[in-house]
Amino acid sequence: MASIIYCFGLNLALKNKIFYAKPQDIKKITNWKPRNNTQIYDRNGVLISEQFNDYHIYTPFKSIPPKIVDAIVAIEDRKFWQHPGIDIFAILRASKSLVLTGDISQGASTITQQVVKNLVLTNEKTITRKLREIVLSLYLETVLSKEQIMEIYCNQMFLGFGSYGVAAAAKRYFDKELSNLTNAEAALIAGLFQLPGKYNPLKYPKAAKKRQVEVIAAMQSAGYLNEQSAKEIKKQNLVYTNYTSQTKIAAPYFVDHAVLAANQILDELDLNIKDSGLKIYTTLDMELQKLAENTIKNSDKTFSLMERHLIPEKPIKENAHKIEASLLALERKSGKIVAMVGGRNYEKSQFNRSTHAMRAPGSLFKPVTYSLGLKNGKDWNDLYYISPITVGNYRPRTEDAKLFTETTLLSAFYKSVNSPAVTLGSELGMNRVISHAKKLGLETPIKDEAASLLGSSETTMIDIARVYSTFANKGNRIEPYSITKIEDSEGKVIFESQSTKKQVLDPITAELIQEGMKQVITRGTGYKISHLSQMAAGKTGTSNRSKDNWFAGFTEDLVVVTWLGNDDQNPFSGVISAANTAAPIWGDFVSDSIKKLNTPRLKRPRNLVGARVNRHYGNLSSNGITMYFHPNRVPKKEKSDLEKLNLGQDLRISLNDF
Amino acid sequence: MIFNLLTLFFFVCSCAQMEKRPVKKPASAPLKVTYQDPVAIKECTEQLEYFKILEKLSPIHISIFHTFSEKELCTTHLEETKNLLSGHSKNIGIIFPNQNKEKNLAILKGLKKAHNLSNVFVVQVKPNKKEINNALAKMIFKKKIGLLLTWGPQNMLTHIEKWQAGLKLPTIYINKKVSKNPLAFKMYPNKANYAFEMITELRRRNIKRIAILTPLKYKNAQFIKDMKKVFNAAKIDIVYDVNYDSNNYDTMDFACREIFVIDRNKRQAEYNSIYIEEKRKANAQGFGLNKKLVFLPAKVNFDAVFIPDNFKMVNHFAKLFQYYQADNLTLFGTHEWRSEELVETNKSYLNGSFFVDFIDSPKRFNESRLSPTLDYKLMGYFSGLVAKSALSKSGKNRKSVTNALLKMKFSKDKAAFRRNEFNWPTYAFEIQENSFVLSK
Repeated sequence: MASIIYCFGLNLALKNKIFYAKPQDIKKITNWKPRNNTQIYDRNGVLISEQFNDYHIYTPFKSIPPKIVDAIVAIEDRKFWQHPGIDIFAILRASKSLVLTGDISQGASTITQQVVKNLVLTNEKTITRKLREIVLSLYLETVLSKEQIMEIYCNQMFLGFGSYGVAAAAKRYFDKELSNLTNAEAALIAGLFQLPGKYNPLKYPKAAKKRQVEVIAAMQSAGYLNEQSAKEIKKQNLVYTNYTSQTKIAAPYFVDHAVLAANQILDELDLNIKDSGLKIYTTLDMELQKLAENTIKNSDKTFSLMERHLIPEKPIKENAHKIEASLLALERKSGKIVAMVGGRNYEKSQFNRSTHAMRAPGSLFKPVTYSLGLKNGKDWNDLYYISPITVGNYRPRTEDAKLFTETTLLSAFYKSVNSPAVTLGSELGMNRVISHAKKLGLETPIKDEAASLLGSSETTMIDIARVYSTFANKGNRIEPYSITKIEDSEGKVIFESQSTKKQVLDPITAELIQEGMKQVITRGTGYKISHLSQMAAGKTGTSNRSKDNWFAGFTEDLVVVTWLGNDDQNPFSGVISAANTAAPIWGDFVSDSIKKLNTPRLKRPRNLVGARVNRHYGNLSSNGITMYFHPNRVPKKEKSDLEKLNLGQDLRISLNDF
Repeated sequence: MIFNLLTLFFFVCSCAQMEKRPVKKPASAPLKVTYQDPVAIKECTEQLEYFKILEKLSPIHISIFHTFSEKELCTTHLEETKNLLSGHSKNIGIIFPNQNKEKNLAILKGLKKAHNLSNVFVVQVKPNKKEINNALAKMIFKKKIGLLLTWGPQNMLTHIEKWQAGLKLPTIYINKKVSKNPLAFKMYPNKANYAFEMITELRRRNIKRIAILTPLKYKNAQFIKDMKKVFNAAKIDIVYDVNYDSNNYDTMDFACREIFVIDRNKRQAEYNSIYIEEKRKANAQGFGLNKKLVFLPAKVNFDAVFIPDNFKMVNHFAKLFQYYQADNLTLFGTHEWRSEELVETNKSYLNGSFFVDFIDSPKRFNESRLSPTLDYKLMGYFSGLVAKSALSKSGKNRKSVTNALLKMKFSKDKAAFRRNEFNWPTYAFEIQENSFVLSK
């Protein structure tokens, strides 16, 4: 019978010159490969995102519950298992309608025809297209089994709300795996094939229910259900879910970053991330991510404080947070990005401030200059006079209240005083400082001007994290990364990351900087988080007029950077600084992370020698603070004239006694 | 430490002897009555009054004071009394307060450097009258000192001064002003020498116009007034004379602005032209002009700046001068600049600047310039030197010690007492990178 019909169809097709597309057209179906979403996982295998153009969840035929297949067959093509690809009676019925009324809209499509139409043809309603559909359907049945055709149908057809295939629809409308669907739910999904827009249960629940009832009736009529079962199924309540966040289940800013990173990898492999059914394993730690998100969410007090002191010199975008925040956490030893919050609300703003915002780092830059100085013979007890300073035409703002004092390099560092940093930088030379910064990991260009010594050259948070990771890892530059492994749809590993490590700073200098950063928290600008002094080290950074407020630092487990500011670069009044904004938020997150990771105390430096030194004048002093030194440069100066002057002691006889 | 022990030893010995109070026997034979000089009698009578009061506190009882009347002592027994009042055993007495341990030790160390200490008697006292009197009584009657050396707070020295005048006891006062008294010798650098050295150096450098930045603590200081007189006399023009408060940075900044004429009102035309130029540059780069970046450069119409303050303030001023871009300025100052820490920062800026000091090389004390007590060591040293010399040249009475002190001359004829003030050599040092070089 099929052969007769096929020959008839073939003759017809040849006469109408419609058979020309056969080889390549049919290949589209025979070569059909299931489209599937790419899935992104955190480091513990928790799904955090699915990437797709169209929402697919590929399910092989054997995994499709029979009740769904039955429901589909009952409502769409009751003779599917018997016919050769077309339903001749249905075609005749449609032909009669065409002859009598000229209407070609009356449907007679089998499931096979729908597959052909969907994969090969267009929605054009012409006799020619219909004839081609018939011919190709007949042919398709000769090359694919019924089960294969049904598998394509169940996975390929659009079922509304962006979903393709029954499994995707089950997830969309019921947030369920296909195998968990009830009969009532299966019937509803089977009803969607005809007009998915019209029967969208979220938009038109009544129409959807009516259609479901039709499906149940068809199943009863086809013998798949008895009357009793049909009645019971009809009565079952349908509960729909609005499953809308398939692309980013969690950590949306991180997902964006990971997708970008994956795209770079896949471009080289000539693959597209979406709909490729890849499994991308990332470095994210969902628990830490939640801690990070909660930290930002629970920092309203800080945001309110900043809002009160915001100076809106430039207009602020409507519906935007006046104060924005971001946080980035890396695993210290590997550079794995374990948490990333690119803004306060992803729905409001998708701009990822952790990776893309170019902001002035302020004093976060100072460790770069200091490390070059310490590497080149400077010591923490070197004496500096705090005063206004001029470098060329550059006259940086100086801290008035702190003027007219003397300081050791260490004290200047942990108090984040500007003039010694500029003095040191200009002694070292801008070119050397810039080159050193690049080595440490600051990849964004740095302006060749003295203002850069105080962090005026804008950079990204990820660059800052890289530099601070270098200090934390004894001078080893470790590249932050987000993707550990990518598997293709068949489970084959197509990419696996390899941690990169390069010694760019000697371990002694790196340890010296670490010790300086400990002091920042113990007695410097990080005083608000001094409770972490045994556990963490870091540095504040406040850019000009407090436009940017940073804290960057590390524990034994993590390298963490926080930033707060206004997206439009509006300044704040003098009350606001990193010390009372970014540092407490950093501290909140780090405290939580310490508990979660059971982080040990920071280790004591291995390569350095400690000595008790007067923090202001640099001489050895039993009342001083512990400073660490290069083992070959332990200080010997026991007395300081400045110290004696400060104590009010007469150093010299008075001229007035002459 | 050694000196502390020595002091303690002498003090304990003195106390032990005080308890015994041995009685000196009166002369056995009657004295001959001869012609008496009325001046000598008057002098004896005046002196005796002081000695008799002090004797009551002495560990040794002088029986003659109790056997004869004052008149008899200064007439009939004049020679014996004179010997009692003026005779000495070439011993040096040192009285100093139990305050400022560092200073005391420094002077004593300096002294030790000049003197073998074999005939030195040291008493440390609480600076009250009772303890001072006791110490003096012991030194006069028991040790029969020829010379007293002392230092301490002004009230203590004033009290000692009354006694030493009455007792006709030559006394060297270290680092304190004392009233005019022919037996009081003042041990501190001579300001005439000091000024001379400074003027010599200024002339050598052809410096004719100076600015003076004086700390408020020296605003009314006689030294500053004297120095200004010297500058005027040397025809060195004082272009600016500005005070500042060492504890107030703003006043220092203001002082700089004044001497460098950083004043838009006074230099309006210049400011306007700089403003226009900076605006043009900013606009060319596509920026607006930040007015705060428009600076008037320092206008320097003098050759050097005199800063009679310590090295710390000099460093802060050096920083400020650099901030105002007042390059190639010579700064000069006093011995208060003497510290290694002067050149820990601002190395290149201070190159060529100079200061005048009292000591050529601290090496003689095995010290670095860093030593905060070098001045005191130096004074102790010179005191020991002059005391040793005077006593070696003196006769049996204390008057001869005074004469020896007045006639004393040191090398180059510079170091000696001139009008009872020690004439102390001074030196100018130039700063060269990390060191102080004796100026030629």
